[in-house]
Amino acid sequence: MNQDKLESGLKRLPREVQPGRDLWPGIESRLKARRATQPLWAYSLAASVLVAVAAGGVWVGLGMQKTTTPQEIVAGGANNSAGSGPTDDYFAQRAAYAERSVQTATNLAPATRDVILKNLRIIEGSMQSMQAALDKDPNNPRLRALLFDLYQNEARLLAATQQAQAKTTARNSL
Amino acid sequence: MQTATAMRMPDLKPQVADNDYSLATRARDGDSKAFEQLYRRYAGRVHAVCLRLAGNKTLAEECTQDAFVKAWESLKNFRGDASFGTWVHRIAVNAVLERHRTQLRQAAWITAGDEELMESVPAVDADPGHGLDLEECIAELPPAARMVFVLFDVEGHSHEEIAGMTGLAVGTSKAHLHRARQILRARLDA
Amino acid sequence: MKRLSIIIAYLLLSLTAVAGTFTLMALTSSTAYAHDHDSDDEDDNGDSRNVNELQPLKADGEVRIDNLAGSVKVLAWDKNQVQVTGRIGHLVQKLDVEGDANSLDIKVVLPHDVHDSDCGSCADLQIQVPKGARLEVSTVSADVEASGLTGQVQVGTVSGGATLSSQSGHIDLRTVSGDITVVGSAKGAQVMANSVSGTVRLSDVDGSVDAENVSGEIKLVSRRVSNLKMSSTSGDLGFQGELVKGGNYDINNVSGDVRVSVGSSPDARFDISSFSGDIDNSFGPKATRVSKYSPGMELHFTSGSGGATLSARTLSGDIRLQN
Repeated sequence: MNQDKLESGLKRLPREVQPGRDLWPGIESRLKARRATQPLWAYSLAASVLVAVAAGGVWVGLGMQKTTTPQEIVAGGANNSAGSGPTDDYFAQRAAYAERSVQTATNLAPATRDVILKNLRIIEGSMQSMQAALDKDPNNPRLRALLFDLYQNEARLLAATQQAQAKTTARNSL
Repeated sequence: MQTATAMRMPDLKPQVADNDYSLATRARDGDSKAFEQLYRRYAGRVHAVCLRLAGNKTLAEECTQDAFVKAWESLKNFRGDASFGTWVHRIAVNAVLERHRTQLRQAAWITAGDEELMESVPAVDADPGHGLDLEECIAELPPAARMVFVLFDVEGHSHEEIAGMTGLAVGTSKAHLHRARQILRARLDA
Repeated sequence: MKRLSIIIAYLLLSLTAVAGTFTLMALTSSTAYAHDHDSDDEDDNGDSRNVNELQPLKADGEVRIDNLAGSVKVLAWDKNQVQVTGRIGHLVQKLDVEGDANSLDIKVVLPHDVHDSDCGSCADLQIQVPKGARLEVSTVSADVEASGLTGQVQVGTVSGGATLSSQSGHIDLRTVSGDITVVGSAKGAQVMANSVSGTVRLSDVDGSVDAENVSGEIKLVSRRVSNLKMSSTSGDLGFQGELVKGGNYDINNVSGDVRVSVGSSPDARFDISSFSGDIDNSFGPKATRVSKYSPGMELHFTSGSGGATLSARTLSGDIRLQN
């Protein structure tokens, strides 16, 4: 087979490329005959501790999901008294319906199902607070836009659930 | 698909390495003239890898100097089991990669490697090259693609090693390599 | 020498701690029900088979690949042929390659009762296709990598990763928990990346991007996206790049953060709002309350001549706009 230009170019690439000017004077001026002021083992011990702490920090950081905020949202929503919009009962039913459809997606990996349910709860909680705010300020376009985002987000979540379920089912029937 | 073969750097012949070792021993004891000889011997090789990784003459010269200064400062760690050239070469590669990491940390939240993909890339159907040589084309690659390409196809590292050196994921390293080869082929074959 | 070995021991110990930490995190993170290909399961010595198939395919023919577990690597070449090489596990019934020069179906066939967690059912395939071919890959846990293609690419997995480096004009990658990585695209491409908990990274793409996630993060780095829709529920969203003149950028999140970094002098109209998250804007104008009945903040301003429009909205996630 013919070599393409890239291969032949790579083979011909020179190992050395001299700098355009003599760099030695610059290097020489920076040379200092000094030893490390601390024994090496102190540095490596510090480094090991940093690595272990960083690893622990990453674990904790990843474990703390954003899902702590829904409590705030729901609490915020609960502070507003029920208005003229859909009642809290409506949202509770809606949430139950959504969660049931996820529970019936039995082909999903448990971990995936957990992620979906957790995020559904985030959405449902937000909807309640959002609706409460809208009840007080019904024509506010910003609030309506945010509520609409929530509906879209939830629909997308349920669609993703169905697709994941369907994909695993299809595989099972290969 | 034809794959570009990695250019492997063979170690130097033993007698030269021994010579390096005695020079390095003298340099470690403070003999800067001995160190200068080591510099003369390996500047070309170190500068070549700095230039290709950095894509920029000024940065390459700085990194070459940094590498030799660092080598001087850690001479006590050089035990002569690899050639001095290989050793200072490794220091140089780390120095160039470290430079990029510092710049990236200043862009508060982007992880190493992503911001560099921002560099404009000539589209495949851009002006055909007029007999461009490979060095020029490499220098014009987007930074992350360039570094992965140089480390893989020129210096012969594996993707796992590159992942360790750059902080990119193995899959991302592979993606960058394919992209680099694509762009290079398009420019060279144009 | 002794000092050195103590240092090495320290470093090895902490590296082991880090490695152990990450392994535990990986095990508890979301993965699809199908187990990933674990090389420790390999008891294929001599029982796995090599495959080698060569079929003609026209330059823009269709290639469909179906593989449950293992890996799929697609590479582009200039020939009007498809070559499949690799290994299939001893539980695999066969590798089916069917079709004609217009369209080929490559399928790893398993017996009905095979449990896919046993990697006797894995197949590691390398497939060379004409670079203009249209590619569709479907796996459950097999990782998919494709590069060099200019034709459209569609990949669907559950826990497998999807990595694409291409000049394709039509990219559609969907996973449940697998990571998605896209590097490059044709000019004016349509790019779709969709996951539930995988990480989505897109860079150097040109054209329209639709990236959606539930809990995984999405990061887009590009100067040439003219149309963007980015959406998540609790994953962080990041967009670093430039706003193209007349471009339209819509980013919304529920509880995840949004970070937008678009150069020091973008030309755009910005519409930013959040129900209970913070808005931080390094371009100057400060956010104001949306309504006295909600803690929400909003921010609307124009920078430069306002040639593009960028909208970022969250429920409780923070929004950061920086240069």
